[in-house]
Amino acid sequence: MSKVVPLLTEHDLVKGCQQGDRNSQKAVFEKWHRKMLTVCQRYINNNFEAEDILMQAMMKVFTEINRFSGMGSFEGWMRRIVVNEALMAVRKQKIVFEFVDQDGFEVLGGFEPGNLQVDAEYLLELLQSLPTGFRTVFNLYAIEGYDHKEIASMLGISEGTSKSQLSRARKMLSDKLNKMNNRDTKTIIQ
Amino acid sequence: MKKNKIDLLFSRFLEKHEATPAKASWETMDAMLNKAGKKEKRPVWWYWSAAAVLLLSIGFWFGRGFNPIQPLHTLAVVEPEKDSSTIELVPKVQPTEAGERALEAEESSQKQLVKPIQKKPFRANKVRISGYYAKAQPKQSSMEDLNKTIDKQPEQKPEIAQLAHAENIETAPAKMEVATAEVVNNAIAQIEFRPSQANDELAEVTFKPRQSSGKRLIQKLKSLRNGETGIKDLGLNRQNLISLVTNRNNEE
Repeated sequence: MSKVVPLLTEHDLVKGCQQGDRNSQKAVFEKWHRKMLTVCQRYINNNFEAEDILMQAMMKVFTEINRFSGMGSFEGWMRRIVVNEALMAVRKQKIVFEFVDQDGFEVLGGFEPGNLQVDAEYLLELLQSLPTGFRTVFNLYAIEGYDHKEIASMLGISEGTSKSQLSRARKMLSDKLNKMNNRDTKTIIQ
Repeated sequence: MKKNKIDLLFSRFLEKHEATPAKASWETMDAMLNKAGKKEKRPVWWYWSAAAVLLLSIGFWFGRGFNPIQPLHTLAVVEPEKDSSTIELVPKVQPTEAGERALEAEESSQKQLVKPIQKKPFRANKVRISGYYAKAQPKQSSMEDLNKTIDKQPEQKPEIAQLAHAENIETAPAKMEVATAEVVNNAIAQIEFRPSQANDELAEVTFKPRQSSGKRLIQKLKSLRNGETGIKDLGLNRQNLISLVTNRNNEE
């Protein structure tokens, strides 16, 4: 006769982690650590370094879990911790966010998906190929959903710098995607 | 707000993507949690002792480096403190020796004056002199005490200075003492440098005794009877004499 394993909800897992239950902690880690690793890899272009940051972030999640009030999703709270940890690593690199004139980038950077067939792994590699400043601002704006004012305060830069970095990142990404799209189209024709 | 196509593409693909870790695993995480748990179990006394050692070392270091009194590898020489009140009082006490001599001269001159005149003017002079010392010793009120005050004056002024020095009085009381000493010294200096003037003043006071009006009238009448003064010197006019005679007749 098979043993019936009760299905633990997110609330049960959080409560177990708050009580220091190691099984709950393991369940949380196993459930979210891959997704959180993707978050780290979006900001850090070295995968090993990204895993180190993931472990530090998860450690902080377990030690600070009593601060989670239960309002909002636990995954969103955990994601903010991981993003903050990744940003701390980015700041340690002492990157310089150069102001780039953004005039004309939106027109030149027009992107048409067409018959483009890409997967997440490829897009992640493309994102990691960007300079750190461009990559960080693009991540915060396009994927995390912060506005330029928030990004400026988080990174200690001006809103204009944030906007220019975003435009330049979009331009580089669209150029690379268009290049790949043309190559794929040529391949299909041949 | 229309979202950029690039933004949409990346957010849609990477939002739910799960990467495959190369080394990160639950075992590593479990070891890290165990290590953190052991760190938290450090006894409380360990932190207190560490803080105490740190504070002691800091105190020792700063105390050694910033000692303003004694430099390193030298013996401390403690000099007696100079009290400012004493410095101010000392030169002002010195004239008291001259004042003592002046007082003695004054007493001798007073003794000469006392014999032919009444005691009252002499008392008045004593009161005037002792009035300078009333600030320093306000409790003495009887005439004998006043006399003693004059006799002991040169001995008591150094006591005032010593009192200010010994009790370490604050600046305001010290200034009061200095002011008192100045008044005393000024009075003594006046006596010292102008003894003849003091005697003149004394003489003036002695020849103007304060008497009742009846006694003065009797004296004037006696002098009139002896022929020393005239009737005009009595200061009586016609109306006063008439009123005196009528009053006397009415009483009879």
